[in-house]
Amino acid sequence: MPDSETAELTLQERGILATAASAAYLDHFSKADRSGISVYQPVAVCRKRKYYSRGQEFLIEWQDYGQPLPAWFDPLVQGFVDLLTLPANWDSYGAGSVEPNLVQEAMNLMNNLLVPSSPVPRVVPLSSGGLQLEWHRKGIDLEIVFDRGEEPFFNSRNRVSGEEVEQALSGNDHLLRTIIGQLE
Amino acid sequence: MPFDDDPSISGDENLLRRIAASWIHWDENGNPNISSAAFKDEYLSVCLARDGRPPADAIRNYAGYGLAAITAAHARALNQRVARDPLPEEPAHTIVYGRKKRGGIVGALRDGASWIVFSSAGRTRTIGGGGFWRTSLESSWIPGPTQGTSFASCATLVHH
Repeated sequence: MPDSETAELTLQERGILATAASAAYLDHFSKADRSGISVYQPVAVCRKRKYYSRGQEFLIEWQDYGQPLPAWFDPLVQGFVDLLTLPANWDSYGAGSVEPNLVQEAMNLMNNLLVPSSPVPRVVPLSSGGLQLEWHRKGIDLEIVFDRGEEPFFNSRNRVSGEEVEQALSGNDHLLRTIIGQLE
Repeated sequence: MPFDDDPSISGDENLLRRIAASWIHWDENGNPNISSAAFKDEYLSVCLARDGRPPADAIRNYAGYGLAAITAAHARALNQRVARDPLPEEPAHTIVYGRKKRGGIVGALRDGASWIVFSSAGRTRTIGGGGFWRTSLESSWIPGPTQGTSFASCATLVHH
């Protein structure tokens, strides 16, 4: 009798066994998927985090699904909090305080635009009581401006090509997301 | 009150602007970069560097501030008017007048600025506790699943 019929499986026999094993795995994974759908539901949780600025304490509370905080979260919120504690005449030219509603508006925009991998913007006060968010990365300058009595807008400049774009925020979310994506 | 350009201020004269710590961004190489926000005012206050006065004198009474300069020619090239506006406490006070927010003007002004004195302020944060007033910022952060990239919902920032 040839060796191949006693000690080894033929190619055909191997194929049959492999197919049977795959079917068993498929069935297993399928069951796991089905049970996951019925059991696992994301649960919203309330979260809190404290920030300090110039001797004052702020508490931010929000709801999410318990996911890890993105790298930009802490520096961004700290930047917003630091705006709210600027003293009068912080620029030495008579600036007043930054308008809290504009801070809120900027927070909401960042919440909607940034993804976990987004680079963090700098939060910069304006003497007029407004603020701007700035990125200077990869040869691109991007500034989003929130100023008193004006529609928010953004200005983007590519330092290499010289291309410059200035648009109102409203209606240009897609363009802004694209530019922020180029900063990553 | 618009200002007319003063031709007696020559193009190569330095116009000094105090730079608050909030306008300084320290890059990854430790270099202090000035935000365009420092040059955004329609009536931009500066002072003339002249009459043998040391430029740093402009921040003598302003601890923690840096000092930057743009030339009058640079400002004029960006459709700004440069005019004297003496003040009792600062006889060399000058205004760079003109719209700056749009059209890349403010960024170009910033790009033409050079440091005269820079402060290390802004590299550290003031950390503390307490406070005496309380307010809240009601936010309506929208839940993520329906908004694609939204991160959180129902955020409230409370100041103790």
